[in-house]
Amino acid sequence: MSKLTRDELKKISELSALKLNSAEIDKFSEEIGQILEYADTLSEALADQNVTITLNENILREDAAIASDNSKEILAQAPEHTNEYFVVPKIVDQG
Amino acid sequence: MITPVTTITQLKKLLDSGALSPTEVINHYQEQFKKHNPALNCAIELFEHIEQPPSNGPLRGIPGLIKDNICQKGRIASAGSNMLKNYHAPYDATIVQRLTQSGAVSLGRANMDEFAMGASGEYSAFGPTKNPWNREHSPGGSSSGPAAAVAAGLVPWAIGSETGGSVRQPASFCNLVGLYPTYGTFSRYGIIAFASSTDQVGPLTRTVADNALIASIMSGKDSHDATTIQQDSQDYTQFLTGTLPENCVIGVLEDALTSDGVDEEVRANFEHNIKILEQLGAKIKPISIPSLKYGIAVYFILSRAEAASNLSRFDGSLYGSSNRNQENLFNMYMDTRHDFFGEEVQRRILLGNYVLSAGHFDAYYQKAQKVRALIRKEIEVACKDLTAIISPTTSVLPFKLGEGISDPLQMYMGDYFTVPNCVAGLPALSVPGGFSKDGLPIGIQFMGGAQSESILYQCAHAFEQATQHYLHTPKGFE
Repeated sequence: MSKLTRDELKKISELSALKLNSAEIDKFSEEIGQILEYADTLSEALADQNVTITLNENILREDAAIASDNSKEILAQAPEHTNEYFVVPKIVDQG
Repeated sequence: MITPVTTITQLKKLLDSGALSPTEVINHYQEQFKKHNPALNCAIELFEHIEQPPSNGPLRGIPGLIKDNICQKGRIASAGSNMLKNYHAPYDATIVQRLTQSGAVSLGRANMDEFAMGASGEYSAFGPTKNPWNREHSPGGSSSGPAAAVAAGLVPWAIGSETGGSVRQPASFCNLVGLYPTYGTFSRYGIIAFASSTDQVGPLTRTVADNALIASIMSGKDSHDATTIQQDSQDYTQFLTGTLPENCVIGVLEDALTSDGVDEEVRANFEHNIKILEQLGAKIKPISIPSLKYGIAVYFILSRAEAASNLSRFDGSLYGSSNRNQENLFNMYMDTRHDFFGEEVQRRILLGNYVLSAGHFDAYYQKAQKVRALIRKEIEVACKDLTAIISPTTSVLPFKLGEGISDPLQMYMGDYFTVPNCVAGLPALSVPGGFSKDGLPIGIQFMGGAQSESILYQCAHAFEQATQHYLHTPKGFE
């Protein structure tokens, strides 16, 4: 029995913004289910341990402005753009 | 004058003495690519116009190849993916700048598994790379192109990247030297992200001395990457004496000798190499690091979670490929990502978002973070009394192309020795260890505590000088 149901995987695919067809949902739920079972071994590792996660140290810099204007080069990479804007399909339906 | 085994050190002598000009050196390697790249597919693109950088630096005139997830200004940076097949890098990665400033020249863009997700080169959107030692076999991955190119003598250095073994495993498969440094040694600015908490670039070279030189040049803090270690660039070439450090005690991972997952020839080669180190004066101490066996599970969870976050930026709106047949934005995201990400990338994104989602975060992600801290602690404690820890680099021989892929879990198990130190952020160096009876390369790995690179280089250098495997050339590339 897979750890991951079809429905769960479908939900995750929507969260991941990945459009999957029915065969892909089947395949991925099976494969990912197997990997998740393997990941369960981690409970063993922590059985006798009380581990605290040490946080990293923050590296700060001066809050100074540096010139940085390569907006033309960056816009040139866009699939669709105007002189100043990235162009995308509509976000909200009008009615 | 230049052969496939010519090292950077030797090339520098030829250039300094005037025996060869930088143009002649570049032409030689470009010719080698023309001859061999069609069969090997190491380079996605070979640059036609190469400008000689204006510098008298330590790498002046020395050409190399750069993995395609590393930004080279004005050039395509595809990360091996259809998602970025026409994306042009607007700036140089910091490490590329440093190499260029030292006089080095990039000949092109090296092939790789898509978004650095893979261990065979077979997940590239641009076709797999072949192992020069046997073209039916994989050169390893995800730095498949960089490794194959150096192994075939097409360049004397290449830069790969690692998140969980992707420089050292190809080094092991191709008879090369490959480094995963202490996390933060090399800047990640301009490196297309996979798992930000373990991603590090790494040099691939024929010899330890060459590798230490490239690593030194790339090292040092970078104001563009706050995770870099706050120190100036290091000189890792200082202790390459040809002898082991004094009072050298080397820990041997017991798993390497007893585990079922290690190929018999790899084990036999490792046992032989232990004897060589003993002859060189090392005291050998069997050790066990219990939490090492959880390294892969930790890596699965953390790397996929971070990848799911990092790859959410690829949605068809700002850069990269885009499916514009859609009438609304969200459908554009969904279709673009389905159409232009390969299967393995999609699998990892799904797994990553699953472990991050409500109800699963504690069971997977939090646990993995804790075990990660445990692994790091155990390796550091073990390293306190040791000069270095050794193991085979990978538990398998270079596998045939097409063999690994059908079972995703099988493919992952080959990473047993390379992955734990990545999640711990600790360095390890793979060096040529010998060959199987069929002539396939086997690697040996030296692992150490934080910032122990100089010691690892010293040990590996002594081993290398005693064994000289770097003098071998694959058949057909002499």
